[in-house]
Amino acid sequence: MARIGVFVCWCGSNIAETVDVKRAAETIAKIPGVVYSVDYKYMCSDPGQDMVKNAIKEHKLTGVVVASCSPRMHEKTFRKAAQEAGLNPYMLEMANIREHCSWVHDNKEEGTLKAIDLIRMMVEKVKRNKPLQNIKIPVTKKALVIGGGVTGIQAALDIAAGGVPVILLEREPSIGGHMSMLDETFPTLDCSQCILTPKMVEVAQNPLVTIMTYSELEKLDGFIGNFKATIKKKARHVVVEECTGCGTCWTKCPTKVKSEFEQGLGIRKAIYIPFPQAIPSRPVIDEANCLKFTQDRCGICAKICPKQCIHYDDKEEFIEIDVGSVVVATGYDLMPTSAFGEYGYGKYPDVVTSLQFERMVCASGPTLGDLQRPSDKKKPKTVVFIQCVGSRDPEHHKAYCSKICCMYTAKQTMLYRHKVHDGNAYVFYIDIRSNGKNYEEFLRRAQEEDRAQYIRGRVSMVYQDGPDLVVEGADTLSNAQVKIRADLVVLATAMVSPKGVKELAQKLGIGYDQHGFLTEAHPKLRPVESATAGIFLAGCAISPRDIPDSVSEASGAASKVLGLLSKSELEKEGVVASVRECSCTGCQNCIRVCPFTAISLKDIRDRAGNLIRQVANVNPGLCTGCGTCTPTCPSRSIDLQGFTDEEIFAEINAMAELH
Amino acid sequence: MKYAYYPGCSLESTSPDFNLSTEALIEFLSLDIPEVQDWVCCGASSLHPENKLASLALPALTIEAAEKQQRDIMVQCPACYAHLRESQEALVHESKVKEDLKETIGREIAGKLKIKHFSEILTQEIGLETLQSKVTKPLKDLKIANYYGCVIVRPQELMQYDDPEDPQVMDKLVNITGAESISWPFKTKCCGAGSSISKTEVTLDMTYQILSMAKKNGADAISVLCPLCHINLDFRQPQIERRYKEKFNLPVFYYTQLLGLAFGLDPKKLALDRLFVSPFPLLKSKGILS
Repeated sequence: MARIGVFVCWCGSNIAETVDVKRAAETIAKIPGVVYSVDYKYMCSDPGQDMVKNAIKEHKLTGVVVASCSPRMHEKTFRKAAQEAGLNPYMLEMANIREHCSWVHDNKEEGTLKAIDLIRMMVEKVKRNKPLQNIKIPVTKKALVIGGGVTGIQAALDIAAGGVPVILLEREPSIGGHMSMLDETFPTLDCSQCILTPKMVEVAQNPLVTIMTYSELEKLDGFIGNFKATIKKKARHVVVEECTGCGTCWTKCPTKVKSEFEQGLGIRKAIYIPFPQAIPSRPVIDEANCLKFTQDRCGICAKICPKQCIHYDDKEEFIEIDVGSVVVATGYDLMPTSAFGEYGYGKYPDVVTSLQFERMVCASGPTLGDLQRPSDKKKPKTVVFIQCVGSRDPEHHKAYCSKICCMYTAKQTMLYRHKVHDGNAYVFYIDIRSNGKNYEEFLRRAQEEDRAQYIRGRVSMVYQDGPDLVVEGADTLSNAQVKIRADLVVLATAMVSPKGVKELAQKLGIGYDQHGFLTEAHPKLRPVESATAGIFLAGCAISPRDIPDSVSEASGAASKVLGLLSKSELEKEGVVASVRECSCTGCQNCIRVCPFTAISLKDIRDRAGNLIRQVANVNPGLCTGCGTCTPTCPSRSIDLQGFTDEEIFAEINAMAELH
Repeated sequence: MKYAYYPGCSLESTSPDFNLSTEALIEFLSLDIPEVQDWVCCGASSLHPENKLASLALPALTIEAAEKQQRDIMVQCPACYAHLRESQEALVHESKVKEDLKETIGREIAGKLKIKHFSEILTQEIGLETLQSKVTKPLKDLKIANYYGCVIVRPQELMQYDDPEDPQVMDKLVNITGAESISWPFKTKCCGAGSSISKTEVTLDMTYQILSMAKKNGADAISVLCPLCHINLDFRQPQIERRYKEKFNLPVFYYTQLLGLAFGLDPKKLALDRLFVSPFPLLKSKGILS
């Protein structure tokens, strides 16, 4: 016979004001099986918890109902107390009479009756509860970081610093990401490569880090602590271990291609390293442009390679790696100028993106930092920077703010004025957002020392008039139309999620928003976790961020990984589905609906080893207890422990009883 | 395809050349497009700031008239086009306004017909190949700046005509005549028609910019599809030339006139003689007319 104890909480006046807690406790005491029922001001306080513990021992309780707030708040607290008193924690349930009752009602009589109903339901449920055990899962002590930009590099370094081996995955031929393309960085104007390349070298030399460039995630199976990643190594056609990076091949390669690293402003060869400090500094053959692959001729690079390490017939490879945790740091792309009709659809060569401008002023850029506009190599005397191009534009493009454009535009006006002392830099802006450490001061430097001229307003159109560009816009502070003849126009185009990120998110089973940015488990309190256990997020993959934010998040995600992988076993709640094998027909309905691929078929064999039939089998490590499977079972053979049909029906019946 | 033609007030009054050339094309292509019976003014420009409901009710009456004829509406004037579309949007999608309109008009109007600009019907329904096959007098060696104006393309969600920055519909039609559509940046820049009476100097300046940009980009002539743009570019051209002391001498055709010329229609029927900037010296110099 069940012996149930009920504890009704006042939560100060939060509950007691709308629920007659004394009457509730007295009414519940009359339910058969309830041997103890009290009310108390704060059940979650230490004395409150002691009441629960003492009552379990004194009254030999077999089940407990705490009627207070949402189980999301204090279920853990009370279950721990119950466990300390020797009761299986799953024999304690909470009736939520605060969020579901007192907070949303103002009539005390009705509130009291509803609270009594809610408690009665949980009493009937807990009578039928079965003790459950938490599930232990082993952990693979290795992590996978997807994305080799500054965020991924930092995450890999921090994980390795904790003694855990890391795979750093990058789909481009080199790690480094967008940061390696930048000239100088705000708000300190330190050279981007000068601060990034030491980190790149550090990560490359770290014995715990394995860098896999020109590689992509093909598939991810498994679950927290026990993922199995399948990685596609694209055919590089160069044996990285043998190649010395001497450069003979790309010097002799006859095919010139627009360089992605130089944002189309410079040239690379069909066999190339993207930039001099690339890691690994080993070339890769671009099959789409190499004459050997497109026309089956040339072949000069293989002929002259002193190490004989160029192999045209290399194929892509697939490698399986076990990892315990994943960090997704896939970064961003910029919207191209061709998305903007009002600025010429990318037809005007002297309308460039901000990233192109970085390459144009960068000492390692295609002109070695000698600023020339693309059309005629002229030094631009007037440059117009347009902010919020595609950002903050819900009607046509993206509603969100790309966050970093205000600051890098200010920086770019400085870089420009440092190169062209008598040049004019104009900035069209909507608002200035400079809310970071030393950011506002930096912006003022751009305006006051480097005399960037800020015009608050939008640009309606940019058009070519002879060799010049004409920028027409509005100055909304002086309510005037503005027309500026410019040599160069720089668009701070919106940061968008990179190509292929949605497909990647689907492979990982993590969420993304309408823009393709990855979704955090909680935007404030779990900002570097995805909703899938064991997969963490960092940097611009989540939304536009600057370098300090990205790096901080990388460290945050790394600490989450280390926390997870510091244990030899993981414990998770015992609320998982279980199959009654004797009645399961193996129809596979549950397998089809399971969102976590936690159910598979299991063979039932006789003693001679002959297959008799197949039944559903739940992997408790993967099962999240969502309950999607249970209603699909025609023979009611799959049930969710802790929320069995019997328990739920008992709750419903208890609710229906009174009225 | 069953359309009825809604000329609107402008084509019946200030822009008969657009109307006549349209009718000439309808006749030449043997299109079954009679006029909408009992059409009324769309209320453009003057009514909508004054009385929103009335500005939706007037086009609704024309929509009702076409519905009675069981025909979709073909329209030429972009302002008419915009107001018909706006009224239709209210009739179909805005239940509150629809109720008000029902009360104002005294009847319910379904509004579920198609409203198309003639240039859309030519390109999408008759087809460029069919039109191309009827060209007998190619307009060789003629560079045309296609000027769409601001109304036909904006707002894009409502008009659904073409790209608001770089539309191509008229360019395609002009290209089949054998003339060359030039690429230029002011295809949809406003001509200032809204201020034409109240602040003429503003309009003159805006139109001046369009004319000079066309000239700078090598245009021999301009092609338009809006009667108000036409007034500013054609009728006001001599005024602008005097004011800015710059000679343009840019004939401004309606696209229907260029098509008609290429089909070999009589220039008089196409009302070429009604243009203020005479096109004949240009057409003769290019050997298109003798």
